[in-house]
This record gives sequence, C-alpha cells and structure tokens, in this order.
Amino acid sequence: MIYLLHLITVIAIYAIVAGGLNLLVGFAGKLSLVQAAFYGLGGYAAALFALRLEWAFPAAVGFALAGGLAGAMVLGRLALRFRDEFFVLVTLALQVGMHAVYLNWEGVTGGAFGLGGIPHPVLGSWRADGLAEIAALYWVIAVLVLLLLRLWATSPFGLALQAVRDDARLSESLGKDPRALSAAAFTIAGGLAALGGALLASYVTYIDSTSFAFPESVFFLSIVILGGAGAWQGPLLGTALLVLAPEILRFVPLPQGSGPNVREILFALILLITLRYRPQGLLGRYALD
Amino acid sequence: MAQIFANGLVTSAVYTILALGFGLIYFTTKNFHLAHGAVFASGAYLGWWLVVRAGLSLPIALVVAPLGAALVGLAIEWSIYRPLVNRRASPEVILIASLAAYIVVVNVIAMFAGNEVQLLRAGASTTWEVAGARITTIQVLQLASALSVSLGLAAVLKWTRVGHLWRAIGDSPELVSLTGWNVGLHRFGVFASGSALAGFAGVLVALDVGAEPHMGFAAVLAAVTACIVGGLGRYMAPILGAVLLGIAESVVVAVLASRWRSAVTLSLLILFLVVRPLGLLGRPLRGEER
Amino acid sequence: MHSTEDRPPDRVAEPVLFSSSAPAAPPVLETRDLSYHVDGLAILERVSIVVPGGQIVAIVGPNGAGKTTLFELISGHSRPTSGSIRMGGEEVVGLRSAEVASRGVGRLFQEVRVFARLSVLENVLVALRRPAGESAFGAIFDWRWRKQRAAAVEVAWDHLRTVGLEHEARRWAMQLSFGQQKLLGFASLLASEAQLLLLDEPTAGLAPAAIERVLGLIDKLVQHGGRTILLIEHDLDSVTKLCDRAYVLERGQILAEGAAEDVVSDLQMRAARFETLVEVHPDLPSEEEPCSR
Repeated sequence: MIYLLHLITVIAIYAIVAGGLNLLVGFAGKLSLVQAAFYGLGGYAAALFALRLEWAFPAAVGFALAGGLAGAMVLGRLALRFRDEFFVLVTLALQVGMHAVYLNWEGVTGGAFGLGGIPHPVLGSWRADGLAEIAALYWVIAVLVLLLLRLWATSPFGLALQAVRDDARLSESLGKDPRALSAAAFTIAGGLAALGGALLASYVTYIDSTSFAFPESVFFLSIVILGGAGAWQGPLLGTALLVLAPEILRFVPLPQGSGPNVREILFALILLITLRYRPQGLLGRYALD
Repeated sequence: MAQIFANGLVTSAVYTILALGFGLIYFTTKNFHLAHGAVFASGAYLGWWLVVRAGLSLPIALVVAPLGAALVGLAIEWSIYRPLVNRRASPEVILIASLAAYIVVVNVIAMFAGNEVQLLRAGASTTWEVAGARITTIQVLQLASALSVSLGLAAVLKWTRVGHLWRAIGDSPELVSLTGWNVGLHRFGVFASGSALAGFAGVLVALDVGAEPHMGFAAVLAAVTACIVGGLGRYMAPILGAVLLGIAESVVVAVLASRWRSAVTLSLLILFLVVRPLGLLGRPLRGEER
Repeated sequence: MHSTEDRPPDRVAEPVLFSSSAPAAPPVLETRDLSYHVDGLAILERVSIVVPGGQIVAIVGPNGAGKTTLFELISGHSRPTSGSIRMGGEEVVGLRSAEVASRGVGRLFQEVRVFARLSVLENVLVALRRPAGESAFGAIFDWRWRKQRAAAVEVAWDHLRTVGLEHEARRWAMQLSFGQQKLLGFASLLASEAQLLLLDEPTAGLAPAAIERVLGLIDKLVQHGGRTILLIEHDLDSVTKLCDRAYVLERGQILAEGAAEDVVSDLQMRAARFETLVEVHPDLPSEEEPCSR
C-alpha cells in the first residue's frame, strides 16, 4: 500500500513534467532534451530556498517555478535560434552543461553528495508528512496543471502552436509569429519541469545530480511520445505506463545489481518501438515523423 | 608548456579518429548518429575482452575489435535508422532514436562487464621524452594511428570510386540512386567504416586510460564539436576541430581542473553554433540552396 | 472584357504610373525599384508595380522570371537588396512576414500548403482573426475567445461552404486531394479577412471545373469583398477573363504593362510570329499552359 502511494505520488510529479514537455514536443513540434535539467533546476532551487533561506513550501515551490520559467525564457532564446536536429543538439548540450554544473558546483548543490534534509510540504499549519497526504496534495496540483494544459490545448494558443508545428511558413503568412509561440511553449515546459522538481525535492527530502542527467530527459521524452504527443491527456497515460512498467521487472529474474541497467534499456526500447511502429503514441494526434 | 601541447595533441589524436568516423557518417547520410559513442565503447570493451579475457595479442585485437564495432554500427543502422529513413523520418527523430540506441548498447555493456573501469594492459609501456614533453608508447601509437587514419580516409575519398560515391551521396542521395547506384548498400559501407574507426579509437583509449560504459558520451560530443568547429560538409575538416579541441582541453585542464573538461567541449560547441555555424572551413551553400 | 481597339500594350523602359485612374488614396500595394540580388545574381532588377485598391492585377512571365521571389519580398519572407514596398503608402520593407500578414496581406503559395495534421475545419479556424486567446496569457485570462468560440466555428463553416469543402470538415488536411487543398487555402484566405491577396498560380494543376470555381471565387472576392488581388498566372485565358491589368516579368525585369487583355493579346501575337519580347529567346508561354485555348 505504501509502495502504491509512492508510485501514485511519483506519477503526479512526472505527469506535470511530461505535461509541460508535451506542449513543446507535441504541440509546438520541437523535440527537446533539456527537460531533466530544468527538473533539476526546480529541485535545487526549492531545496535551497527551504534549507538556506528557510522559506515555507508555497514560497519555495513558487519561486522555483518562477526560476524555471525565467531560466527557460533565457535559454529558449538561445536554443530556438536553431532548427531541426540542431535545436535538439543544442538542448542536449544545455542539458549536459546544466547537469555538469549540478555535479560540480559542490558549494551550492552538494555535488555528488547532494542536498538532504529538505522539509516535507507545509501549508500554513497543515503538515503533509504522511505519504497519503503528500500524494493527495501533489495530485491536486497535478490535476490543476493538467486542466491548465487542457485549456491551452483547446484554445487559439494551442491551435496556433500546432499550426506553427505543421507549417511555420504558412502560419507566418496568417499572422502567427512562430518564434514567439515556440518561445512560449519552451518557457512553459521549463517552468513546469521546475515545478515538478520542486515537488520532488519536498517529497524525497534528498536530491542529488543523478536524478537530473540526460537519461532522465530521454525518459521524459519517452513518456510524451508513448502517451501520444499532441494530446493533452497523453502525458498522463504515458507516465502511468512508464512508471508502472518497471514493476513488471520485479517478476523477471535478473542478474544481480543490473536493475538500473535493465530499466534504462526498457525505456529506450519502448521509445524505439514507439518511434518505429506507432509514432503518434497511444492517444496521439501528432505522429512524430 | 610543451607538456600541455603534447597532451593536447594526444587527446586530439583520439578525437580525430572518432570525429572523422562521425563526420563520414553524418556528411554522407545526414544522420546524426550519436550512438557512435556507444560503438566507440563497444570497440573498447571488445578490445579489452579479446586481450584480457580471451588472451589474444594486441595486434589481433586492434584488427578484430574495429570489425566488431563495425558490426555494432551496422546493426544499429539496419534495425533502427534504415526503417526510419525509409519512412522519411525527420532528422530530429533519427537523433532521438540514436540516443535511445546509445542507451541500450551502453547498458548492455554495463550489464556484462560491470560499471567499473576496465584496463587494457598489453605489455609494459615506456615513456619517452620528446622536446621537453613526456609521452608514452601508447600515446605515440595514438598519434600514429590518427595520422594514418587521416591519410587513409583522405586517399579513399579523393581517389577511390567508393569515396567519390560517398561524397555524391552526401550531396544528393536521390540523384545517386537515380543513376543506378545502390544507395542503401553504400550507407551500410559508410556505417561500417565509420564504426570501425570508432571501434579502433575505442581500443586505443582502452589501452591508455581504460574502458568504462559511459566513456562514449563525452567522446561523441567531442566528435560532434570537432565536426562543427572544423566545418560541416568537409570530410577532413574534423581534424582541425579535433586539434583545436584537444589543445583547448589540455590548457583548461592544466590551468583549472580536469572536471572542467566537458565544459570546454560544450562551450566550443555552442560558441561555434551561434557565431560560426559553418565552422572554420565549411563552405556556405550556393544561393539557390538557401 | 475585350478592347475594341487593337493597340499594342504600353512598353516600359521605366515604370509608368497610370493617369487613367488617379486615386487620391495611395495604392494598396506599390513597389519601387525593387531589386533582389543573391551571390551576384540579379533575380529581380528594379521592379516597380502598382496595384490600386479593388483591382485584380496579374504578373505573367516564364518560369524562373522571379515572380514567386517578388511575392516573397512583398509578403516579407525575404528582404530586398534595394527598393521599396509600400502598402497604403506605408513602407513595409524590414517587417517580419507575420507583421506584414497582420496588416491584411494574405498569400496563396505556389506549392500547396496546409496544416497537415489539423482538420479541415481547424485549418480555417486558425486562419480567423482572433486577437484574443492566441497567446499563453491570453488563453487563460482573456475570456473573449471562449464566448466567441461558437460564432467563430460558424464563420469557419461558412467559409468551408463557400469553397465547397463542408463535407470534408472533419478530415485531416493531409488527406485531401491536391485540388481540395488549394480550395482549403482559399477558405483560409477568406477567413483571414486579408485585404491584399497574393495568389501564386491559383489555377495550376486544377481540373477545368475547379478552375472555374476558383476564378469565380477570385472575382467574388473583389466584387463583393472589396479586396485587392495580385496574381501570378500562366493561364493567359484566365488573365484575360479576370484581370484589370497585367505586368510581364522576365529575367527579373518588368518588360511590359498595361490593360490585361492588351498585354495578353500582344504576347499571343508575338508567340504566333515567333517573336520575342526580349532579345534573348524567352520560353513563353510556359509548358504548363492548358492545351485548349
């Protein structure tokens, strides 16, 4: 039961991060590999606000979100100068670079030792110490985020994003500004990733740089693509599947200590199979091509 | 000072071989084959296994390991890229697929050979003193290999029909296939050759510092940077990028600390992409192609 | 619309402004000495055209003459090397294409362009001028788009009915045939309420019935919608039927201009005599001409 609650909490967190990424990948049509780095940005920011400045949960998370939005706005200007595979390459470079900072800036991030003792969520006088309480709180946040994403998806903004994705030139001739729209999607994706990271920090109370490396970015991308890019519900389905899938591995006899390796292989294979045989994902409207 | 330069040159040697292989594949097929890093690691581990576990001699390993790496590269092309290319998948999708392939291969290696560094020691290694810098036999081997690979590739591209075909395919695959050549077959050839180079580089590195499963990631990023700095579309330009990168790294490591190594690669990569995306020697496209 | 006199069209060495209709208001579109050079190659050389409001003006000429390039410059997708482009008297060179578009310029591309993964209805919806809700903030805080949504959908349906695509509304745009996609392009242009339309070979590749429909649409756009149209066309019949004035563009230069039927009949007479408008042999009319004339 406890483990189930843990999974549920994790699904809420990942759904938020993947939901933001879907706006960029599925709606704006830009494949990005930097999501894990923004996830980490939010995690470290919230942790530092809570630990060093002793801010309460709402402030720490709120400012972590703001930091993610600001960082994504700045880095987005750089990355969006590039098209196609160079955009992806630049996001990969940013991912690797930011992760290197997390790993090496020991004074601030604790480097490989990480930051511990991050407090659980506290809202006013209510402490969410128990697993069930945290799960409930995070699900409320996740639902709000998903509703917001749904609002965007069905609004003229969402339609304009998809138009830019399908034919940037044509959308320009209709008065849409592809750069501004893509930048907005990039910013939102980074902000929501940071929000997820902040929630993660307050849940697991200890974070280090290994959670924010490039395989995690590939993992988020797999969620979006599997669930169905371009469908606002896609990330939820994708998250649920990819969080629950490794549980099946428990019943499979594996060589000692190879668990993490097999998990990574599993995610990568799922991504490859989805790209090959069903690029629109399970719910998708938009087939990555 | 001379030591820094020598270290830089040695680093560039491996980067050169790796980058020439990456460039060969990228300029010909336009596929951003980041799994090249995994092929590199495969070569390293194969070499290690052949010498340390199977007891074969180093010269044999230097031949067989690249062949094995070529097979890994071919497998990736056949099972992953080819179906996507046939379906006209976009370059970004192929890049993502190559990353997924990298993850699979590297984790398989880790499952079989563990996560610790495995050293390939084949006999004693002497240190030489040249012009005030120390350099080991292995490093001499690396330099010599880089030189021969460069000359060999240049010769193939300039004087053989296959080399000409590769360049033509890089320019316009449709036209080449229309004139009757089997582009698919030559894609295999390009992947096999580029991967063999990566595998060869892998063995050289295993001999020098050892092999660990994630060695290919930073290495392939360095190869990509070398290609971009050197100049996109020019098969031999990665040499220039590799030398620059190697020396820059060496300087930074000497002045700051070795952990800033990757920062050099990334900074050069982003700098060139922003300021001079064609690289130092790249040719701008003709007006009609813009 | 055939002239009773058989006079040759005005031949220009320099741009000539009309004296026949001298409106007090500045023309909807005017280019002056527009040039576009790439790598030393002159693709357009000192092109000057005037498109008064409410008229349909054609640009004819062989392939490679630079007609589409001219559209690229006018719509803001490329920057001219020199020269000016004015719309309603205002200089627009240097504006981004989205900015030019929001001033009421619409374009139909030579290569058919649709939003492939949106439905036909959504293709038209997205073209509507809906200032509210098209930004991330607007979508959340500006409630106008939600209230106007039903009305907007109705308007989109109307446009689809105008072009005859109402039965395909739910299909994805990429599932449409070539001709249907062209009609969808028209529906989007209607929806965008653009006042200056740049139509690049609107009848190319269409069956005769569809051509008739398109010509009817174009006529209606101007007669009932008060729009202004600049048209690239190879089908000289359509040009004669539809257009008020025509320019001949060849090798990047305007070689002739005048009333549409005059220009066309002059070209046809020259072709019959194997005469050329330029010293060097041009290839007009082009190969895409329908065989029945």
